[in-house]
Amino acid sequence: MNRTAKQCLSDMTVSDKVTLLTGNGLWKTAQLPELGIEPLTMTDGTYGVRYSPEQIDHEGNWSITDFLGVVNQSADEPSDKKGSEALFGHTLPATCFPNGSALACSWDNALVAQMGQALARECQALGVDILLGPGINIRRTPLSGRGYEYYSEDPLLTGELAASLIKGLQGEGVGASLKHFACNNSEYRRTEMDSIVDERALHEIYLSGFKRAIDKADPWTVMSSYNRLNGQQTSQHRGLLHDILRQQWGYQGLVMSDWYGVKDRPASLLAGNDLAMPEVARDKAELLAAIDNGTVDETVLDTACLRMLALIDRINAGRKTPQPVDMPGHHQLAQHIAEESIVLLKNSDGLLPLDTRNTPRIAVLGPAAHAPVIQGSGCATTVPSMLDRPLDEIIDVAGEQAEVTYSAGVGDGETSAEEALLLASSQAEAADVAIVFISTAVGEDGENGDRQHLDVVASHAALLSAVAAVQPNVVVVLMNSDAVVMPWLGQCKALLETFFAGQGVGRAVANLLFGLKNPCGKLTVTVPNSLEETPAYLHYPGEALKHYYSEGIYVGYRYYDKRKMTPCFPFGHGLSYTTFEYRSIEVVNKTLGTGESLQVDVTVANTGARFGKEIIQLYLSFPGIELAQPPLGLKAYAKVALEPGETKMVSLTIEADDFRAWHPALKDWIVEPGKYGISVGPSSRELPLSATVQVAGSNYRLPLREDSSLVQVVKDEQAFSRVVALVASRSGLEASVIRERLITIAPELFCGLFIALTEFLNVPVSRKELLEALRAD
Amino acid sequence: MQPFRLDSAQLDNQGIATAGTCELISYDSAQLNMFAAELSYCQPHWHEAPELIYVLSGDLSLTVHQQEVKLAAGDLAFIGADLIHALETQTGCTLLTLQFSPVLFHDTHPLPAGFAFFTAGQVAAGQLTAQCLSMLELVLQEGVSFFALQAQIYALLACLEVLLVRQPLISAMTVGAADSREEMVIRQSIARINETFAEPLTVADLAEQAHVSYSHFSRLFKKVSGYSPSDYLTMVRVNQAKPLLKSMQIPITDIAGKVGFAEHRAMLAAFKKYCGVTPTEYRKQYYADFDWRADDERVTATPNKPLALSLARQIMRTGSAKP
Repeated sequence: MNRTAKQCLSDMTVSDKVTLLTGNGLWKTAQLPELGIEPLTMTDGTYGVRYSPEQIDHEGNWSITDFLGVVNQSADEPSDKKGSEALFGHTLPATCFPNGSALACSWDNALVAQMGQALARECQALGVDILLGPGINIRRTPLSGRGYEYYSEDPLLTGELAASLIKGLQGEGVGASLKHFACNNSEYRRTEMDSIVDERALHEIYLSGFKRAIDKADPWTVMSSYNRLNGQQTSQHRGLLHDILRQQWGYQGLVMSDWYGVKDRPASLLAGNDLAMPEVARDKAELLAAIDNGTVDETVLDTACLRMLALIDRINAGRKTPQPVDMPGHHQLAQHIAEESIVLLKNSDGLLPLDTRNTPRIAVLGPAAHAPVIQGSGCATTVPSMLDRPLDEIIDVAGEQAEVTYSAGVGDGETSAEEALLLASSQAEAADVAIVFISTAVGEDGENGDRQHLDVVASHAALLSAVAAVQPNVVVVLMNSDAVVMPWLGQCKALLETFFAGQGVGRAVANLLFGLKNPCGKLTVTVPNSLEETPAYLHYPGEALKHYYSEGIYVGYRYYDKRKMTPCFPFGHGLSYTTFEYRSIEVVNKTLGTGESLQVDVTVANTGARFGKEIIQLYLSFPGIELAQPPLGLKAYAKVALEPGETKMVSLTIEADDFRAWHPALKDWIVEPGKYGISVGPSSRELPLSATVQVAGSNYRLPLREDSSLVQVVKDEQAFSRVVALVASRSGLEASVIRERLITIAPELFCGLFIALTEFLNVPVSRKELLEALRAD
Repeated sequence: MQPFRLDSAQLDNQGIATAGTCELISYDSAQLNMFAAELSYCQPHWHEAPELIYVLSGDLSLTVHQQEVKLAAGDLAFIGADLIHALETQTGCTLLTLQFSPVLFHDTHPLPAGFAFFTAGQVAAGQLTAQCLSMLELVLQEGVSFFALQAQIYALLACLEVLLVRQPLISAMTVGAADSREEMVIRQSIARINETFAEPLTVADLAEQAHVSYSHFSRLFKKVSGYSPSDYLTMVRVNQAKPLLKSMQIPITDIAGKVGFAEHRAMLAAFKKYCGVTPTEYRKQYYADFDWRADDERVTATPNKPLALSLARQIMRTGSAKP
């Protein structure tokens, strides 16, 4: 568009404007050639580019016949397309990168940005302008069907990684869509469910990652979610989309709906949901009618249009000539990210890495060794451009020295479960080491449905038991959407957690098993001992279509820490083949003024015999006097590479805003003054270094009422001075005497101030006079 | 045995099934198989249908009836009925192949026999190439008439007939005379390998079954087929393993056993030797190639990668695969 947006807007009819703010087909935006407006193309998803030629190039639509075609597909047809995924059409092969739950375990901002760049190049080659990701909802419960797409239970880590991905994408000229805004933390009846979230949890946990990503990376679009939040559909939630997103955060970009997520188009536009996706004729008609009858003011329409025109300008400015994509290079990147993300959870007796000289006979078992579970099922599901099968890669990496056997170890059409187990255990017994691949059920996780339990597939657990009975050296490789419970943990010596690590998982696992690479990922969620102990358990999945987030701010490790519970594996945990020693900590500023960030220097050494990477984590403990706080909150991290014997000093920064807490009474952020604790270490439950810092805190004044206690009033110098003056004027005593006496007696007065003054101290003040004295300035 | 053979119109597994001694070739109503493919080698085999090869790109060595010739892009070769032929390339090559149905011929006018090759740049090669290209143009037309096709096939055969008289490398006469008992012995051994490769078969077993000494058997096998018997046996197993590797269903460790390798390590070594890649890498090459992957049923039936005939035409017209 050559003309300015304002000029363009003045040339538009109301109908043009409505067209501009509605989708065009499934994946495009409006085309208005007479105004010089060309359509933008968008596509899913969060870890791979899903391009459907039928739907994008041939303007196909969702059709019931396609859907029925898939439903009627016989089970033995080689297809892993199930349920709602079938609705999203067939897509071109693209690099299937590690899913959010795996990627996040890298804790590596630069690497995540690299993945963003690669996604952008694949988008550009296909003419895609906006990739509908990243999805960053907090992983509140491991049951959530889309947990595999999201990063963490921690908002800071979530926000940092999202910012990195967005920077990578947008730096290459492809727009991001930060989603799903907000509080879509489980899939159970997601389009009807009302997430009831208290204000502190909303700001500190559920919105904080979004704000961080917006502050640091300015995503060109934000996508509203399918659910309701505190009573309102998010696409129609003005408090969320306007008051918080626009006014508090200053977000300038475009808000679009999730696909068919708008239920009332005029209401959604009034709330600040600029673009409704995809094309729905009724949406247009209803919006036109609402403008016609004055329900929606044209200035509201104009504001949204200007945002849309600005987005088009941004995209046109960044659009690059499509270049052929280096798909083998992207596959290598997918392998590399998987290697950086897979977490070594357990390694008894130093079983890993394997050495074919000591353990030449290797039994590989479990169906996922041949057919790895690399991703979840849903709108993000990608047709991989290449696939590393763990078994094949183990054979290649182990080389001709090793004797590798394989069997699935589970029954299928031809083999009974008993026969399969018998073969597997005989192979395991004849080997020096058994590598057992176990996974969660394919297709169970996904959209609009949650997992029913946290167990791995029952036949996989049975396989592990049978193997463990005959073979002491058992390595488990786990492929799962989100955390699972591990009643079988004692049956293996070593455990590699891959989550859904994308198309390069096979090579990554093989390289890690044989020590060509050293594991360096760490958990971004807590692994529970049982479903029943998880923080969201009691009120999940809600009833009568209301889902109370009753654990409040105590999400993930914050809950386990607060209740002093020991999880199966704590947040931040992950082992290495080398050892690291946390040597020293230095807090650069001993006291911290308002609005200042804090620098903490940490020295870490590699004391083992291998090159390795360590993720250094810094947690902050709040004074917790004014507002209750979890014992620890992650505030900074760094991934550092160390040669054997090498020592490095790393500077970590706690940003000024990360000392804040949301005060529900003030409806604002405060920084509580006092002493803050700083702990640094390799996991949230192993923090060998600690220090403190004195923080000045922010100036805030809590609202006082006639029934506020005198103790509270004494804390507020301005109000207290006025109360002292008021009492002095009625009693005839010196103000200084009154002040002293009131301070002394304050702890004894159990009633509110008005009653205390009038009934106990017999000071003749009116309610109105007292309220006047307590009023905020 | 799976020499390359694929026509775009139809493929049934019988078309490439081995029946005793040689490749069976099935035909559409056109009585001509025409296909293009990328390949790295083709084990010794023979069939009743005469065959004309045009080298689209790369170079290769072709062994026909114990004689080896080198071919490069633009060269052609004609291989008469029932001649044992094999080919091998270091760099990879793409070929356009035309196979003529025996139905095309008549008792009084037999099919051209013998073996000849034509070097690019020569008048003969030019004439044949032009005929092949006309054939290709015709095949790629929609709704072309059966008689038009048939006419072009005979035009091509007429051209071949004349050229074969002028420059045979192996004449039809020679072939008949050399069809000796010795060659029959080897053909039987090849047939045995083709049928029983999945079993633990050794060269000693084969020699014994042929009632000749081990060393004589080895020499004879090499002379007739161009390969040592152990090489041939391994090649057959590798060739059998390839379509299985392309199938996503079978675990790699099972494939080694299914095609007769004693253990997976033997398959690994054989692939390194004959393909320059490990079985894992071979499987991934296939998977990473979207054109190739797009039509699973067609490609899993052959160890080679088929090439669109339209692309073959482009190469023949311009000498390059790039538009």
